Amino acid sequence: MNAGSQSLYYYLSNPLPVLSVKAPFASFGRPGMIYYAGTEMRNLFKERLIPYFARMNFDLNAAFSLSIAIGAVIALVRIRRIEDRYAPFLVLTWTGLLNEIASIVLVSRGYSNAATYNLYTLAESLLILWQFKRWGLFQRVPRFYTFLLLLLPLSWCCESIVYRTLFQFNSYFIIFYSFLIVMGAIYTLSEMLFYEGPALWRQPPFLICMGFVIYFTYSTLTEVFWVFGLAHSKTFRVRIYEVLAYINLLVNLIYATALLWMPTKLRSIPLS
Amino acid sequence: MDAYETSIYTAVLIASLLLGAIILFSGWAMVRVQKRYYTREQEHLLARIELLEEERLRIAEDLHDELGPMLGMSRLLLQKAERTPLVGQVEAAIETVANRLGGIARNLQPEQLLERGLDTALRHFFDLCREAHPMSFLLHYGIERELPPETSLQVYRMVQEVTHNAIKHSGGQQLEVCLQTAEGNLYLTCRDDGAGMGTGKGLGKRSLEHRAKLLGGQLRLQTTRGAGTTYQFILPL
Repeated sequence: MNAGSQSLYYYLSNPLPVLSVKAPFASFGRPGMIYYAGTEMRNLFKERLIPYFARMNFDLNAAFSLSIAIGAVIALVRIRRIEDRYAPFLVLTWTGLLNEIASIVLVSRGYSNAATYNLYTLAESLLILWQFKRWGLFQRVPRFYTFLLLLLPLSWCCESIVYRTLFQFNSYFIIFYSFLIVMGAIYTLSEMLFYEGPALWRQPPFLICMGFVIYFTYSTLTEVFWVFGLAHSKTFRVRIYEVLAYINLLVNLIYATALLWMPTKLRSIPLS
Repeated sequence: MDAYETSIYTAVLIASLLLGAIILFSGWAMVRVQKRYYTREQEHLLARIELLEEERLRIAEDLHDELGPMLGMSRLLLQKAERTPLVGQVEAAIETVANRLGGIARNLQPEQLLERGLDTALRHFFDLCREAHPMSFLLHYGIERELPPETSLQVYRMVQEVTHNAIKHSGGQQLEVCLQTAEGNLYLTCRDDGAGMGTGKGLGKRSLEHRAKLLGGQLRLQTTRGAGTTYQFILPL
């Protein structure tokens, strides 16, 4: 849901070996930040990064990222009819779309999208946790849900405020929550394999969990390479994020299909 | 090895560990959910079989308490009637119905099993079978200890089902039933010399499997066209 916003913008905004600066911000004026005007950023993109994006240009990447809009529009059209238990996922599609739009606007003006992206990761983790709860994942262990509900914001604060700043991209938090989401999705899929009927491919939770497993597994691995080794090799990370962009497109289309197949609310019969 | 290489190796190691953890978790989740699923299925099965036994008991009581006295009353009324050949025939028919009713009631509620145990109940059951069918029924009862009532009832029902299958479908001349204990298990082996059967899962076969699973055991079925069928139940004690 957010790969596009992370990939290209992440790459543009993160410290480059030659410049070795923090992400450029125009308005926040944080001490120690080096200001880059939008033009400079665009020049930087043209001169230094275009060779690495020979196969995938900025527009295509942005278009892939915005594919979440398909799901968001379907969610908006069907909101009154879809069952309440999918509410967190609907909010997640709109939040994802807002994040993509904010990222594109910020980066095209030469600002970093780190702060919005970091906030989005927190919202995403909590919304998916809530969605798992609505699907009954924590029915047997409600305390574990409360524990995760406290742990996720706490770990986010630790990285975004204590270890780094809000204006630097989080990595450890992404690894942590992506890993948790993959676990939750795998468990939900296992339960569906045994308890649901044969037409699993038409079950929205099955599709959504498949999307979670595909996207967040790749995201976890990408972040690990980012933290421990990828940062030094531009070619490698560009290739990795290219793949992530395609995965993002695929997963967004799966989400859109799931949103189309979400069951409608049961009509209540008014009692006289 | 320079710092860059070290960091790449660290990244590969951590990524592999995470991937390994995800794969292990998938396996664990599948096993856990599968166990829970089978436990729930077994509970449902137990509830269904208990319901079935209760229903059998109720039907047996209804037959005994309601139809029995009515047939008795009819017989008394006929005794007061003028003796004609027709009355004699009706009396004989009522006698047959009363006997048949008693047989059905005993079959539904195995009194012998409840009062005298599995060995006696099975022998009594085979005596009744011999009266009704020319097939030869052999029973080898090699259990010395007393079985729990639930196990006895299930074993009795299994033997009933297998016997019913043998009489109805096998076309054989002999059914041999052997019960013995070994290594903490109860082995129930039933072998007929009939025509054998297909590999499909009929209702009777499924019911036998369910009953075996209910006792935490399993059913092994060996059948060849023209060479009979062998059922072996391995039930933990």
